[in-house]
Amino acid sequence: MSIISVKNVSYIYNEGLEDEVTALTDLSFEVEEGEFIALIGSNGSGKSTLARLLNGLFLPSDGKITVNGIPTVDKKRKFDVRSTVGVVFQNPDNQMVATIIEDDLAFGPENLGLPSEEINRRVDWALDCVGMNGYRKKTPTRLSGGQKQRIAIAGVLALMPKVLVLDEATAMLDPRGKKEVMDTIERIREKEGMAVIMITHFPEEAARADRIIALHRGHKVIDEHPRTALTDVDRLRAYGLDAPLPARVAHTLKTRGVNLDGNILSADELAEALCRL
Amino acid sequence: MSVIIKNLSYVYSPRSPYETRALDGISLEINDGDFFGIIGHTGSGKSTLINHLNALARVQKKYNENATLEVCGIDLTAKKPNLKLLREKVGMVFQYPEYQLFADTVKADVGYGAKNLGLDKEEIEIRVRDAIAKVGLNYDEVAERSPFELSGGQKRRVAIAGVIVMRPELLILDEPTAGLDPRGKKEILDLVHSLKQTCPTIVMVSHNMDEVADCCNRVAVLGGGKVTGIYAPQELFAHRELINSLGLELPTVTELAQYLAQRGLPVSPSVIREEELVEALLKR
Repeated sequence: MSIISVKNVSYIYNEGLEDEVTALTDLSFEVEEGEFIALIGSNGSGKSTLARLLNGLFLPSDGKITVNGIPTVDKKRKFDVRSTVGVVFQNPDNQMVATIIEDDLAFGPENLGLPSEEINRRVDWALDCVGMNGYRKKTPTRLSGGQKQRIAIAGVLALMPKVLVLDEATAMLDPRGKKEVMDTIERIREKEGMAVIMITHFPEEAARADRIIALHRGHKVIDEHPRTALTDVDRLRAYGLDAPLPARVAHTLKTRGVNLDGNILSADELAEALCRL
Repeated sequence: MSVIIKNLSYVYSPRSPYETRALDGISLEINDGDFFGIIGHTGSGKSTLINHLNALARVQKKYNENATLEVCGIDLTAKKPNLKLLREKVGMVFQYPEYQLFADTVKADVGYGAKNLGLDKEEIEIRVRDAIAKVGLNYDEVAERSPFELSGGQKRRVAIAGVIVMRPELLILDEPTAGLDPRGKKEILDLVHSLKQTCPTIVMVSHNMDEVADCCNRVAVLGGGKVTGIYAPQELFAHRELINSLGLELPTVTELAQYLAQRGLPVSPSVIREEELVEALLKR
């Protein structure tokens, strides 16, 4: 069974007012357990709106979203929805609620009304997942951006979600921080089998996913494997998106008359294809 | 010479448990006409350094007995440097500059700095029109709109217009494309290139080595509050070990070029532009 089901969902900001804006139109897709999806699209395509719909922060203007079988509009089961789908946002500074890291991580589980031993166990586990065991009693303010974002991820993990949604969680980080966070996500996915929906502007990050969903002006325009989704350079450009560099170079070489086979996505594949010539 | 820095140091929270030496004897010179890049990982002192260039961080007497800091001809180690003049000459575009938009209309926001220079109405109007045109926006379309209803890339343009309206001699850009989507990034990069005509000397801090490779003619590498070297981009990115040891990355193009070279393809490991890489592969 799929863990999230999105059916014919539309979302309109300021509905009925003069400045009403349609952010999403008739969107449908399913997310399977353990799946790794990269959600791409240029600014204003509706990605962040979708992230907020997936755990019921926003409710659809039309259509239906169910999480683990629970409709997100079911107010009585809001906590079940939010502890199943955890969202990590772009700016780590906006996601800290406490002055000591363990308190910050305990905040979610406390709100679920869990017993304190269980909370303790989850805080340990979450810190372990993001590789920051030594920081339990420290304060978040003196951490680097990458470390803060890992703590923000740990805060969501402490709810033991089945789906982790990352809304450009690496955008504000330096290359080292980006790498820390990406490696952390991949480790958690492998170890815990969580589904990950990653919103990103970086084609190289998206290429790591099993499936690419692209939005354009609120419509789903691509829902494919990265192999086809990220190698169709012209189509991506039409939506204001970019392909990973090896795919771009292969594309340019092909249009300039070089006979390369297949849909080239990685540096390795590009080297192979060139060496075969 | 736009900027002369000799032996500059800066200490945060002195005499406290959190005392940190952010700059430790920095020396460098930025020439008129340079597009000068400053790179280094988080905590290397980049922001502290550029904050000195328009005196947001002041030279600390205690740690700078033999230091020189001269920006656009103004001696900032002097007891009372002319800060008003300095800030007219040095334009600073902070990271995420769109967070600083505040006025009701684009026109008022862009004009704010010019108004504070004490210019008369007509001159302000001329400069605002000019600045808005220079960042690639249509004056008639945006002038009366609220800056907050524009797209991310457009907001950033408006914020940049609000700095170049002062017609600075030296423009400082802190991560100008951070957080934008690929199209927005490309637009801002094209804009940055075109700004070179308006403002001949530019200093840019960036984590994005693709942009550094694309824009800069000289690059200072900071690490632990010191300048570890000043290089031409081709020279810098040919040193893979140096870049890795600094916790930085190669430009994606250079990374790919070096990988392909290693696989026996005839590509120079110092390639920094996508077109160069494509040309080298076509020649084969």
